[in-house]
Amino acid sequence: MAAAVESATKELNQQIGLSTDGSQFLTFNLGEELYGVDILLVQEIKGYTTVTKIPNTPPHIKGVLNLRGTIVPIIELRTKFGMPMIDHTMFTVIVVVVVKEKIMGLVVDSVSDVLNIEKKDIQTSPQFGAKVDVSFLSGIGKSGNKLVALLDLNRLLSDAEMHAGDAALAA
Amino acid sequence: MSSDFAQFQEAFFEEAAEHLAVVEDGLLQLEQHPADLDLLNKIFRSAHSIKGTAGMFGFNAVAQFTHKMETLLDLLRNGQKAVSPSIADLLLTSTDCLKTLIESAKTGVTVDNNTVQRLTAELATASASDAQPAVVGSVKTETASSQRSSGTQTYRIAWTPPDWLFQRGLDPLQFMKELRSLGDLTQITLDASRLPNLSEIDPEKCYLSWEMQLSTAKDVKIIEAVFDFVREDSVLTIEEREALSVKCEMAESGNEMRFTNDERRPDDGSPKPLGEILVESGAVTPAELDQALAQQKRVGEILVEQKTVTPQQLEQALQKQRQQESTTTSKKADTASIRVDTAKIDKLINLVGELVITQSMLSDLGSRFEMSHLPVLLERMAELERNTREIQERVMSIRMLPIGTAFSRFPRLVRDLAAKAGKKIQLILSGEDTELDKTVIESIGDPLTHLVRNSADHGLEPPEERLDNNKQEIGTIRLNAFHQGGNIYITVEDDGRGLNRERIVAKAIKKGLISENEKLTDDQIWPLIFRPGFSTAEQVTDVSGRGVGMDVVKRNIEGLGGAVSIKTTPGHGTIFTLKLPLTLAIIEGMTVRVGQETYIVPLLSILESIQPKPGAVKTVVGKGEVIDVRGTYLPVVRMYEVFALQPEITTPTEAILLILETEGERVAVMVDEILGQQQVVIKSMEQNFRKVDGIAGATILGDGTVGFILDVRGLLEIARHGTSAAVAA
Amino acid sequence: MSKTALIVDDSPTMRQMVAFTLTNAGFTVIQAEDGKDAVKKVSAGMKLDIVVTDLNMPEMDGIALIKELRKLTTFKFTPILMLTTESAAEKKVAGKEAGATGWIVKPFNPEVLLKTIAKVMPA
Repeated sequence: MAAAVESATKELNQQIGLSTDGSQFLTFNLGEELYGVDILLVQEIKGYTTVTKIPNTPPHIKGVLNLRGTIVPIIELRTKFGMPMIDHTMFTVIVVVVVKEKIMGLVVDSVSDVLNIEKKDIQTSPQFGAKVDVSFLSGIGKSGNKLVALLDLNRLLSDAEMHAGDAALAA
Repeated sequence: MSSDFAQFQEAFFEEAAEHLAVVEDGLLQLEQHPADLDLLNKIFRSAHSIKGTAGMFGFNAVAQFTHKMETLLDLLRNGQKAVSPSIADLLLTSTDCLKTLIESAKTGVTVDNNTVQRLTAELATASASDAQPAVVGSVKTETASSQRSSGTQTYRIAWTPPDWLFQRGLDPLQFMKELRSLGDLTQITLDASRLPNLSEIDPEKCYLSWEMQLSTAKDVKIIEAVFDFVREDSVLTIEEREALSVKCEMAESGNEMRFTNDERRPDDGSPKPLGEILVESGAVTPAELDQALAQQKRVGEILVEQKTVTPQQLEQALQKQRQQESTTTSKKADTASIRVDTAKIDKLINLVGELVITQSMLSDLGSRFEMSHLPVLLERMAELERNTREIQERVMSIRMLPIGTAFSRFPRLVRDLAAKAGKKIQLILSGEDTELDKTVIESIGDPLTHLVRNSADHGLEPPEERLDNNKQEIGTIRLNAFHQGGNIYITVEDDGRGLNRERIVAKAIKKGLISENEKLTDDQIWPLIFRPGFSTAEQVTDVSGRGVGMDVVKRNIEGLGGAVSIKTTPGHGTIFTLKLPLTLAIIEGMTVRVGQETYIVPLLSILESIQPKPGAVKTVVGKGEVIDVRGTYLPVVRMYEVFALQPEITTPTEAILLILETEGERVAVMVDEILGQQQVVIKSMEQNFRKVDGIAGATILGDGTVGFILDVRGLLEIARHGTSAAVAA
Repeated sequence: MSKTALIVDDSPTMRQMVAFTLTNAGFTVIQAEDGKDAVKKVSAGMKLDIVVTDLNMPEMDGIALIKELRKLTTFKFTPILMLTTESAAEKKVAGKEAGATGWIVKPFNPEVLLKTIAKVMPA
């Protein structure tokens, strides 16, 4: 009985293109490049709205947003990755992610797709492609003919700028 | 399912603290009214409650000690003993001891056993001349025997229940069912011979008897236990069929000690200690066992002797162990809970119900909206607003507790202080029902204690001096709490000698806090006592602080978003007034604008706002800008500079200067415009981000965007030294 | 239908513990903080399957409560258990005379509580 259900589910998943091995990634565009985050960490995607700038923080910390009563920091990924700023368009969105129980929003040019990337198609030590600081990437994934730079959100979150304590320690 | 009640320990400690307060408070009142029976009953009940509940968690030291107190209290309330000063004293000291025992149960901190034993003995002596109830029964040996028999036995059980069986809610069938659960119940015969004629039958009475046969591997004690609730009133025989018959006449009184810890242990499945088994089997005597146990060494000692570890290594390991213990206990203490009056919750539920109704009416209205419905819409919106506001108030009130809990420690404190200093002091409490935030209550205990001590120690004069000055011999300290304009005020007032202007000035000059030729008004002089290191006490007593204190009081109160002020009249006394916010979750703030940004400045820190006249703001070399406010020069901080904002106004004469005070220091902060005054709910920045210098928290503004709440102290720090991040870089 | 129990104790901790145990065992639990509160709560004609009450309470104590309950037709035969401490032998006798079905001696554990309830409560 249980086995039958399982095989049926698997079949259904394959039909609708869901991965049964490996992970799923929400992919989005920054300029010409495609980035991905583990879909399990994505809480929601919301349209871009004005944020409140936090004084004396680096430029890539865009500010904070009221997300149903919770104060959520917003990170401008373009700035973080040293890309030129562009004006926000109607496609600009904030990808809200939850990492280690902390919520943050990532401003991206537009969301692209949800892709299955099998484990064997992920290269963990990227040497090519992305122009960004590779320390925030967990790997480069391949899906069909697309290359996706996979973000390591843990590292992005543990970025010293997100914690006052780290900065103080560095002194 | 959880097999024990350990998860309720936190609740127990909270409750025990309340009972302790009742006991202590009651005992203090008892000194004045030694014959007050209601009071004695109240004290007794609280002690009794602690005892009963402590036992549930296996806090035997607490239960046993409270039992001793309870015994004495019982004699007092029954009039078998009279309340004498020495008994009241003993009970008060015992309450302190009980407090440490409970603290010990909570944190694992060791207790001075000598004190416990001494007090236990004293309590016993005080309760003497009356037979002590036997506390330790002979259950243990019975338990041992109950484990002995094995193999199935058949018993003949004859039972005639008391005739009131039904009237106590008992059902004979229940007994049969329980017997059946023990083994094979057969040959049940009903003896209805005692049934009277129908006309004489009382249908609520039981006239029946039974005889039955039970085959079970269980001990006869277990069978007896089935009849626990009736065996003293029944005629019950349980006989072993074959072999030797064990006959039990159940009319004798049973044993009271049913579920003591000793008895419960075998049921837990944990094996008995080896020594105990050896004693039971007769291999050793209890004395021999004790002797052997006394020789037993700890693992550490043995390892050191064998030179496997050095004493230093052992000490380190022990230290680590202690640390681990203390971290686990401190972690436990952090989980705070709050007890809420059910009435408050019921009201809240009603309000939520109303909210749901309003919401459904609104969505109904929205789904088929026409302009003609606009008045209805507006009406519903107003309702929604009222609902929301009421729910907000109610939810906030859940955190509110009467301040009486913070006051309750003072009668005892003042009594002790008076006794020590040889003064006569009466304490008058009022406004105990004033409610404020639980966190605030927990945090004001120490500052208040310090102020009360200060009044008792330094404020009030010794009796002779008071009489010389035509004052009443007895000095008075008043503690009062009241609401006013969204704040709580707590006053600590004494009718003592008042603050001494000359002495404070002299001291301040000596400490370098002011210069010798500075002309200061009274209002500028009194706050000097809040400066760190300031103390005017001629002699340091062991109860009042030594130099530390008043500055800590001020810092703590300001840490809560409050303020302290002083009013004093030489020869007539001093009043300290603490002004506190109702809650820490909401603050009253002034919204100000700098360029596009809106900031909230806590109202408590604002002294005034001014628009400076031309030339009022001057630049002092090396000190930056200052402004002359009625003869005092205050540093000017341009908010846009500190926070790197794009301002609309950069000329001071066109801008607004807010005169703010933080920790006794004043500063003028320049903003573009004041928008208004409102209550804001404080939201944490740290929850998803981190602490930001100069910002105390965030809040949601009326338009749904985020606004920051200014941290005045932090702002001043940045103005002086830059941000901590900049320092780090 | 789940069984309904009334727990009467002035100690919130005790109430919570008993209520927790009984709720886990599938009971609907009503709590009262003393005899008076309990009488108020049952006076609406509520039917209960079992009552567990402390003896030492302000306002109305356990003995008085048991007497009150037994006066009501609906509570004439309802099992009522009292919570006692081992030193309160005379209380136990008074409780029985008032009409208590049985007793549970403090300290007890959840197992004892449930066992004792099962003992007096018709399935």
